Amino acid sequence: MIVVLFLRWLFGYFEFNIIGKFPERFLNLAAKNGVNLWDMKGSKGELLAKAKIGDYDILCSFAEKTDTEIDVIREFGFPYLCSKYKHRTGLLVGLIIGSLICVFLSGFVWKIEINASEGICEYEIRNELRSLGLYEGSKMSEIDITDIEMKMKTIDKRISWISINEIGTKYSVELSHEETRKNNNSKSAVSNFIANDDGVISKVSIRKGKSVVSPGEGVHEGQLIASGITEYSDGSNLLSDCEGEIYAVTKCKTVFSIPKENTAIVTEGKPIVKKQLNILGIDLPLTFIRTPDGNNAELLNKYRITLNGSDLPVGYSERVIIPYSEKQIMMSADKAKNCLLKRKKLYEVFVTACSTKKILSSFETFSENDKQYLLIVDYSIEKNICRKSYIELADQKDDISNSGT
Amino acid sequence: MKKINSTNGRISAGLSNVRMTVTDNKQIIFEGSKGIVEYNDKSIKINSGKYLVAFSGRSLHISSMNEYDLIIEGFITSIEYIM
Repeated sequence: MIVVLFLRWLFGYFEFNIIGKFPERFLNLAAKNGVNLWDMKGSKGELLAKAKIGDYDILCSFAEKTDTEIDVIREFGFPYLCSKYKHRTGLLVGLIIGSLICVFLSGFVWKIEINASEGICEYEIRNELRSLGLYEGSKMSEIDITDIEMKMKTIDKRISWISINEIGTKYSVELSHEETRKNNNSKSAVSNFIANDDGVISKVSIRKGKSVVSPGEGVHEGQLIASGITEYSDGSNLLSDCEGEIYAVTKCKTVFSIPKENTAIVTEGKPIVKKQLNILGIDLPLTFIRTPDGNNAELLNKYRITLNGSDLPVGYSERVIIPYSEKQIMMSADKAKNCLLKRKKLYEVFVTACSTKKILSSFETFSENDKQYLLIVDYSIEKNICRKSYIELADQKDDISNSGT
Repeated sequence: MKKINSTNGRISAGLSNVRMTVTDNKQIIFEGSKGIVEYNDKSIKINSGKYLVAFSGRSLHISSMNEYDLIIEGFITSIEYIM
């Protein structure tokens, strides 16, 4: 029914009143001649009906024959709408220009969506696609998807599978990298723990394997501290991949330095703002100011117009140019010491927060030479000193007991 | 009238050259019309050739029609054959 209503609206129709002694005769004549009338509502000597625009002339001739009159009440549909606005040329021009802009813009890529597996940098992929001609604002007619897919695999050897789908003006790129080959030995390997630093054992926590050291015992770098081969009293051995932690108190020396003479950057004059309009990848300057000679720092602010979550290939950017010069500054010993102590504190925070190391004590010495100030710190640190050392076996098997190995 | 079938309030009446499908008292599909004799919102009379069929009621109107068939809608109170 909606289709019928739409078609009637598209081709246009009118509502009319049939006035006369016998409007029924008019209806019979119209029906016999195949003229389609609908929504007929009658009362005595009067009849309301609707008909297509094209049937108007024939209905007038029926009215003459049946001695009735046709009085058009209302007109509906697209043809009437056109005739109503035919003098408004601006509207028509706007409609045509709008349609042409839509057609023109639909020939460009508006958005690229990348669905990649974990560990893939989207920025890298975008750059690679850009180098192959697929970017926001590129012409869709110049894009060869199959070629880009093949070239992407050649450029980035890590890509195992890639699929580029065109959805209107949006491109959806789906790809996955080759899974890093797992070390096959890791599962069935047999390993020991050896010390990676000199120190005194403070804590032992071994889940797989057997510890050969105990708390309070001193160890040196490279010494075996846990074994992957567990011997049982019946003579059998269990081969395992060592797991766990052995903590030891170790000594370490860290040197912080700062040069006596530093180069500082000093701004000169006011910053210059250059405005640009970006349409389909082309930058159109809005301000014409000369870039000053010498050293300049640039700050670029880009603004994109977004419609329904999609970035339009139309944007605005501001390039702020800041002129600067370099100046040599000598640093005093007090200032250098303060600065080095702050660095030391930051280092300690970083060490304790980002690793399992625990700083027990520290001793610092401040000194200087011709070029720089130095802060030498001797730390006493508690840390995990385990380092895996794999044992190569001729006949390697998972967690099996071999008697007499 | 040869046969009357009634199914769920829907009456189908087979005539010699007229067929009427009545849905409740709201709609009648009339097949075999030879012309409208009277048409207003209270009464519609249709010529079937041998006799007239008169429909009475309220807000009666013909929603669509062609040479032989028409659809009458409204609140129908009676159907009468005028020989």
